[in-house]
Amino acid sequence: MNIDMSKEIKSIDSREKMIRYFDGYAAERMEELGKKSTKRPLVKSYMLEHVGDSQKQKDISMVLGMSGIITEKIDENLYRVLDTNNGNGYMGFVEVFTPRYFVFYTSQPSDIADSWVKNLVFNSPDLDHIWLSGLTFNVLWKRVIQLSKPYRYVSLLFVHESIYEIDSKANEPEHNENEYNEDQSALIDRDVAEIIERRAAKFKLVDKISVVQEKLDKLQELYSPLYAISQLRFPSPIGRGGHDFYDNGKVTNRSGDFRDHRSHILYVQRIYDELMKRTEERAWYSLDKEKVSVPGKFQKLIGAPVTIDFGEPLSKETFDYWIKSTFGRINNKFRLWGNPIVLGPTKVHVYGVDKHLWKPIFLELTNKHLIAIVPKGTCGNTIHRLICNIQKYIDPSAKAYIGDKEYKSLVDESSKEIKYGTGY
Amino acid sequence: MEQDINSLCKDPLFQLNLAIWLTQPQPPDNVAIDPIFYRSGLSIYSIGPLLSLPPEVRINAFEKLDCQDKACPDLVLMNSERIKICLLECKASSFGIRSNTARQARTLLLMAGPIVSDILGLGRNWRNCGILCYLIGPNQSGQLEDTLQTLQREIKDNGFEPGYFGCIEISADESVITLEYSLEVKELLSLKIDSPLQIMKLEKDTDPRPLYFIPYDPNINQTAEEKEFSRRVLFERILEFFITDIGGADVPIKTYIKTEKFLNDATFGMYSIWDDDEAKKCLRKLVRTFLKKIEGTLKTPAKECMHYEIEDGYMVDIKDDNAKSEFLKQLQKIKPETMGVSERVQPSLFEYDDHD
Repeated sequence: MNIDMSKEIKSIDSREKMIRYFDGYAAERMEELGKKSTKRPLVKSYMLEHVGDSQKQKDISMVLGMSGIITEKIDENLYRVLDTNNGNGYMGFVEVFTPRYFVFYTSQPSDIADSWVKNLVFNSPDLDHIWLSGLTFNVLWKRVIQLSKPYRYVSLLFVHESIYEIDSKANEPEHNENEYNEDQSALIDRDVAEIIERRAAKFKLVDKISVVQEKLDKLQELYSPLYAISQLRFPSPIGRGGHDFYDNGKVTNRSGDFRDHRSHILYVQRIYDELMKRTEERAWYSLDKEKVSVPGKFQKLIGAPVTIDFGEPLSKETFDYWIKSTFGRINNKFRLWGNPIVLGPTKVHVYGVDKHLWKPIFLELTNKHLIAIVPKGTCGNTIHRLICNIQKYIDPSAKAYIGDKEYKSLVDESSKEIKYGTGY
Repeated sequence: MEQDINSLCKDPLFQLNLAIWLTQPQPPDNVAIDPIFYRSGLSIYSIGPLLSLPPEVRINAFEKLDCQDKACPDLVLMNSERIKICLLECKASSFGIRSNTARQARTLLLMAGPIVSDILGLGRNWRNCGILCYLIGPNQSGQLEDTLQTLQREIKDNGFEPGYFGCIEISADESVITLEYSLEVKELLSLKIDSPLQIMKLEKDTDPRPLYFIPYDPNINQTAEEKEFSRRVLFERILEFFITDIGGADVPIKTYIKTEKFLNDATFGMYSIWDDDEAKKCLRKLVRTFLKKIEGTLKTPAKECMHYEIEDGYMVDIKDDNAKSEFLKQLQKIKPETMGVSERVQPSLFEYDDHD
């Protein structure tokens, strides 16, 4: 724990002071980045999602309090975060955007902050990361083109690892069912790593927006792992650098301005919120009682299945490893539980549970597709996480649909209809 | 996997779930099932509604026709203008005009007449077009159409106005499940594609069952194998909802397990509208037997968190996070397929029942 940082946070008692503190801090880091030597960690934010059901929503103090974390109120929506466990001190700030969405700001080093947030989410069924799949990033990339000058530089990270092509320990989270590794990649990059032959792709691309705009679609057609965007930079309109969004809702401020950083987070959060509402509105299955005639007797089924269609059928071996690794192990990448009902060599049904949120989900898994029926009340985040993991670990070129509507167009509509709101 | 797909095509529960899938929006390139009803603008208005004939029809009909005063079609489909109204019934095979099923068919034919929108509580609408449509197993539609023709004539001859009728036959060969229907059915339901229509491609050695919306219906006659499959799905869902209930609850947890709630969760609320009280009682007993087996598989310390109380049934009492974690861990190891999915269960007297 960085004692200075803890003291600094403790002394901040207003929103204005927090903004000034992070603004000044970001400007200093930007200068250091120019000299290629940062003396302190960059500011990073973690976008978190709480339950959508307003009757089950808890106050932020209660949500974090369940993990023994203390929140000290600064204003109506802003809190200092104090963790007295394991000698941790003040970790940063949490801002409540809406009762459903929070963001945690910190200048702790990545390894500490990532692991702290990961444990927080892991231990709380009331909290989840927001999940930006490759499909979502492909739409956000179009917004980056609209928002930025073509000569600005963009940074994209592509991560795909076909972990189910062979049966190995890599199919299990390293510990405690981690959902992502410290470096945002599932790739093993150590000298001692076991030699494993399976498809693994991790590329970082930094180039002018105009160049990427011209080439990316063609490159994606040629090599499907390039659909699996797992990080995207929104260039800062104020100066050099920008804001790096990762697939698990982490956002690193690589600009010299914190207000701009926060504005970009708000923008993406609003898109995500809209996407979530549209997903849940379409996908949630329930029997709705018609208000006419005899009460309670007319049951109208509403909802739409979620279909993820694979670009290429999975091999029998990959399918088997995927099912075995997911439903044969308590700890698994997809954080699902269920007893597969085998209906054929490459078809199973699972009436399962999203173990993170403890919500039901019915699944048909084949070597060609995955179909999910999501009962009303199961959070839309379950669907976004599923799509994210399928692109990352199974098929980067997979297409997703909610009913007959392509998921990509749902993201596109969600991002186009965002208006500046003064509600937060 | 050895399976006679044509035998499955006769299973009314498979037919019902298939019919529901035919109304569901799906990707344009037909990933799983071609949703012919959805493409034709038909959606589910109601699943298994209990409908009754109006008094003025009943009073006259009972003297002249062998029919019932109420009937329960498996599905009611409707277009968005509420003009096309289809009472859909799933049947394994045809039936004779003197059978009990024919009594139900007469009632449904009467209901599908001009009174159909009134019966559904939608108000009188003389523009509406009601049709009684049977989803039926292979090689049965010819016979059934003859029967329905006779029943329709009988209703007309007695001065009543029946609805239209039609059959959609489900059959399979090695590679595909096909629906066949007459031109009249196509026009009545505004179906977009001519018969025969291939709706589902089959994979070698693979059971074509889609995910079941309705896993179990005590009113439906099934073979032992089909019943076993349905019970397995039902038990998996009961366990699923047991796990989600406990996993999502904050400690300390002290709650009675309500079999009715689990049955409703597992059947999308269908359980509450089933009309057969005896069958429902059997089902509750089935679930309680399953819960007893779950209790029997739990080991200490999880075992101490679940106990039976004569008056109120099973109680789950979890004091802290460690106990919850252990309880969930053990629940996740349970395999319903090994827990008596084919056992016969009869209701017994003097046993607790959390009904109501």
